[in-house]
Amino acid sequence: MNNVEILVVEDNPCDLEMTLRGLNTARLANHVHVARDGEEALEFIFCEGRYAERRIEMAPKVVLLDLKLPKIDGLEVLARMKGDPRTQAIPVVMLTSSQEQVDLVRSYALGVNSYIVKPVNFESFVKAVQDLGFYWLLLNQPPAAAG
Amino acid sequence: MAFGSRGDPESRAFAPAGPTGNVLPLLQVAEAPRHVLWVIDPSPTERVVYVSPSFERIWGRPPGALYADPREWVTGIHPDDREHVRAAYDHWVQAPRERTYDIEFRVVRPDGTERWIHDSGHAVVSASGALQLTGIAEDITDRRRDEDALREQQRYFREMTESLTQLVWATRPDGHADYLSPQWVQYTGVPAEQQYGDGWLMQVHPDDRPAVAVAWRSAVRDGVPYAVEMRLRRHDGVDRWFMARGCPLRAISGEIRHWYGTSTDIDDLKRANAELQRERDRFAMVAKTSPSAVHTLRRSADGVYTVDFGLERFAEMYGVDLAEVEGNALLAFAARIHPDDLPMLSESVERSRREGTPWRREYRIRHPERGERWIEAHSMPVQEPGGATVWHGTLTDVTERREAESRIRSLNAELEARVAARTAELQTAVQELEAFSYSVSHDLRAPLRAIDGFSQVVLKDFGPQLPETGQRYLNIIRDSAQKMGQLIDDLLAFSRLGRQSLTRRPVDTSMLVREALDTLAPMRQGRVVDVRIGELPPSDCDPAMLRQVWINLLSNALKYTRNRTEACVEVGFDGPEFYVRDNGAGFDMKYAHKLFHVFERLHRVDEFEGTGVGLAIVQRIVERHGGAVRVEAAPDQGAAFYFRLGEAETVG
Repeated sequence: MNNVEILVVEDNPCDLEMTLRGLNTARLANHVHVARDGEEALEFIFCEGRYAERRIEMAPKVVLLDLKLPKIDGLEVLARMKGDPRTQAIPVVMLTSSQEQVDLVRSYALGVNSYIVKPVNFESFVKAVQDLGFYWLLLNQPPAAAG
Repeated sequence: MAFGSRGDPESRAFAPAGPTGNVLPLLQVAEAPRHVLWVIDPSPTERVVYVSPSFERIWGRPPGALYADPREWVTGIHPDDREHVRAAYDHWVQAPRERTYDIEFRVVRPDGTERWIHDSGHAVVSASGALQLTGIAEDITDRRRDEDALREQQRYFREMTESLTQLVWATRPDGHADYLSPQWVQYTGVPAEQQYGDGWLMQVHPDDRPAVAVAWRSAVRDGVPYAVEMRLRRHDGVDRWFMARGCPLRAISGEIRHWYGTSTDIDDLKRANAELQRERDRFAMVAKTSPSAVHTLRRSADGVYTVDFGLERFAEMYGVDLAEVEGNALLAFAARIHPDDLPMLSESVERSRREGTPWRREYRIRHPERGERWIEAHSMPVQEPGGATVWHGTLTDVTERREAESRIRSLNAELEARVAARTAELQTAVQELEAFSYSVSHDLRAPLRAIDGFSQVVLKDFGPQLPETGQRYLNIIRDSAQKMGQLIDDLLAFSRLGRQSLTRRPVDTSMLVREALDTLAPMRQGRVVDVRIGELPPSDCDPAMLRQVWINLLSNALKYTRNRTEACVEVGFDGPEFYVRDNGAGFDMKYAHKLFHVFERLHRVDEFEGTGVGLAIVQRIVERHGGAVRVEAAPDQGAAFYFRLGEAETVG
């Protein structure tokens, strides 16, 4: 639980399975943890509630964050992470179905590191996830000034 | 011819010759100081019988010489007159009964002084039956001097008369004109002779003639001064107004000797007066017919207010009886003014007076019949020398107008409330729509991704186990899912256009076209397309939106020329319109009206792919720029799309 390298926050089981399949194909699935809503994501990141035993220093190398989530949505999760000095350096990739300009603008305003519109075409999606996963994971040390 | 001398025995002898009773008066005449009585016997030799003693004083010569030479008197005559007098006397003496002798001449006395003499003679028969010549030489020097002075005076008056601008005339006591000054003659252009008597009346305007004649006749009859206005015809036919005045000149006895008069040109004055009167009438008419009470209010130096003009309307406006206004008008009017407005009015009138600024106020009065009324007052103060202030202005009853205004205001308020309510409803609808499209954009795509993704997984993981037909079906499923994804994207883009705000600025159109062609480069890959770009003026537009227009039109052109071996796409500007023309598939113009509707297509998907949203987007963007789009096409002859941009955004 403490050596999670990729946190995937996704409520849609289909999208989740696709994402995991993509990561698996790229051999990145070993240290993936899944949170099914915004609340769980925040508990995981901030080591609260059901993840109270986690140590905050053991932050994930990258968070793949869906925008629309039950309870607490992706933008709020992003805001909380980027608003806390302990977590603001964690790279966050926003995954979204929406091409809404407003979401994009708000995400970048909150300090998102990257933004992927999930295409209907599955192959493109997997490709994007793999590319991003590699990119962030290969940078051992997350950039402090990222965002 | 003068003779005689006192102390001459014969002259004495002459005197007693008459009857005793006659002697004294005759002597008195004979010895009057200014007269010289003379008596001559013409024959048989000319001899002086008697000459008054005054001869010596008048002639300055002793009379004795006359008795010696009866023509001695001639030597005293002024050399200039002498021969003339002698000739006249000689002529008379030759036939004294038939001829007359009456002459005036000058005498030069030895001391050099001159006297004027009037001499006349008669033939008489003496007591003895003989013919005698007798006469009186009178010293008329003083009379001549008076006459000269009179002539001089007359000349002076005439010159004065003729230098006047007035026409001067004179008539006999009976009204018969006997003098018309040269100005009169010059003005009328008719010789004076034709105008003497009553002839001048012909120069009076026919309409004025009877009245002038009557006035003149009655003045003459009653002997009273005459004054009348008339039009006199000038030499060039122009009638001008004159004021004629005449006065009788009376002798000491009271009888009229003459009439004198002048006629003065008052035409300019009369015209000016008439114009002034017309102005006054016009102003009075305007004041009378104006719905406002036009008035002049005066405040005297000691603070008394009067209405100098328009009092009647002023009083009517206030419902004040004219009788109440006597004295200080202000009290009567102030009593009508609403007590709440009175202090403000007094203060503002006072300020207008002090600063000379226009006075404009609306205030309430209590009209005895009409109730509370709103009055609008406008006036302009003028300071008069002496400390008075005069306001010229109007009072208008604006009660109805104010009521109408307040009705309009409440209607406006109501309307605004309604607009606000509608706007709120609309905003709610827009928000719902936004929420809807937001959720469409997220939630409708997720299942499509699953359909596409898992079909792919099946094909990949279990492909070999599936019959070929099964694999083909799965591919159809994937294609359909992707098409639906495209439809959703296009639909969302289209619906976003209505909400997006427009930021217009001048944009280099050629650059937009080049950017669009760059974006569409993949469509030209492996093809030969002749793209011609003409001169394009800058566009006042939202560049992001217009780029979309060019992309859509150009991608259509590229798409529908796909089957042409020599594809040609032409971009240009014609009049106010930009256009994109291609030599592609074209279409039948009878379907042109459907072209710009969402999801309307004129080609089957297996001919040319597409969702039917592109041209709808073009139309919406162009319309949001206040412009219009149109198309010209024919099947297999290509199509040309034209659009122009307008000045302002139209909502639609």
